[in-house]
Amino acid sequence: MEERKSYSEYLKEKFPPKEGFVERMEALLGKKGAEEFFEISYTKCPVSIRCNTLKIGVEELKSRLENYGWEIRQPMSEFPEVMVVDSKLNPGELGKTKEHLLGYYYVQEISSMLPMLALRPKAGDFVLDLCASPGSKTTQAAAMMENEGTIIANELSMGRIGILNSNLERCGVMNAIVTRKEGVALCERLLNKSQIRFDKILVDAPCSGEGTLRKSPKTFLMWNPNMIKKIAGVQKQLAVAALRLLKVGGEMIYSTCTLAPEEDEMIVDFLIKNFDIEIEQLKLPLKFREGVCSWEGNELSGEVKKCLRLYPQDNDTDGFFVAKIKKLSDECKLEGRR
Amino acid sequence: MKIQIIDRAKKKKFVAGVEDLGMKKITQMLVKTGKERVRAFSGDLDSEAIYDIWRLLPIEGIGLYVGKEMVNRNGVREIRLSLDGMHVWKDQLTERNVILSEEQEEEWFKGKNIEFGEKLEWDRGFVCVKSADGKDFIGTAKVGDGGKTLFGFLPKERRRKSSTI
Repeated sequence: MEERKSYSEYLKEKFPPKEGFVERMEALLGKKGAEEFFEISYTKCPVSIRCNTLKIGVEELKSRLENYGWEIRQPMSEFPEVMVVDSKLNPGELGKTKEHLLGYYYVQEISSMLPMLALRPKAGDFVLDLCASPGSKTTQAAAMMENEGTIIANELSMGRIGILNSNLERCGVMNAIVTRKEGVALCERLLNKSQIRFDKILVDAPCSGEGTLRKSPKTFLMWNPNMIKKIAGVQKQLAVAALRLLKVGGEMIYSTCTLAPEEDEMIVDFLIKNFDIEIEQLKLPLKFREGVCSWEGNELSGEVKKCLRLYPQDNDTDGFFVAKIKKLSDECKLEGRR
Repeated sequence: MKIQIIDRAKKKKFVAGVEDLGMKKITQMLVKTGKERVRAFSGDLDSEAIYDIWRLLPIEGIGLYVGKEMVNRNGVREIRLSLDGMHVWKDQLTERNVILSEEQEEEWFKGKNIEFGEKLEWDRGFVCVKSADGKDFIGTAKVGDGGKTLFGFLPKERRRKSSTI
């Protein structure tokens, strides 16, 4: 407890939150809620892993890890592959086990597992993971699909493709094709030059990272409102392009690891107003808060309430935002696009 | 990345190259990338659809790297299964298995070659290396030194940098 406190005090001193950030969180959560948010943002996240069912059974992995003296908890009965390591581990210990080297588990924060738990890809699906690196969600999708069906895992950065490929190999993913292209350009190329349309798409968009402060406290220093506006523009383009590539009746997850409504509900609201879609009500075994319908003078569609906001203080995780979108027809109100 | 989908005849040849390990059949599509690397793809797409995607998008990876098809110093064609390839076909790999001791396993994961006091059953060729408890395939090795040494091929990113857990 003492150690946790001193770590937290050190971070608070080194990475103080900017005034504008505090004000925005207070507007979202109220004063007390914002205090709770910042308090937990200066602590470490519990260690969570996902059993890679492509290579080993859940019970077998659990028993092996318990043999190391680790205390393993499975917080979601519906998803036993999700595990939390409650024991205190030495630095690097998690990545040094034979089971990790052989790809029997993937170290992944619980919040980052949510998009795929919401999308529920199954064997035979044709799936696009538009911003795939480092591959946590792609490997999760492949496991859920039992290596059947096809995943197109796209990433723009060559350096990050190396990490993506390495994780796909380690986890034994055999049904993925890795492509390197800017996300919007990829969608437009497939849309204009092929008949390829996807059953399921994940747009886990690059974001300002307000939800990942616990593992990346530098985000406190990098945070600024202009960046949020700029990133929101990119996110909107990615979401629009991806939605056009979705089959009618197909499902798309739009997710970010930030809590800024400009990057979350306002993107979903734009999609609602311009496409024939519905937002699906999600049921996931964690405490969530509903989407924000009004933000800085903008009144958003009531549908965005169905989006899920995960605050770190509610489940002792990172922060996250997830929306599940179902495409009802190819109608699109944006000029020149259908 | 250049890709070449391996036809049935070449696939048969690939299987024949690892027959001594017990391999009998490969159900997945095999794809060659580069000169030597062979990858297995279990997706639903046929070869035409894959080439269509390849023409449209820069492909940087497909399926799983399962082995290398190469010609050795003596001019003999040989196939070396990758660690992950072994996992895919582990039920078939019943021959030429070497189970390490715990100490040897520790050395193996550091990327070291494994020396044996006595000769192994084989004096050349590839073997499947298994963990000390016999449960896991942990890589491929080439038998050398007249059957007394295993030369390992564990990729760097799958090695332990420091002491064990």
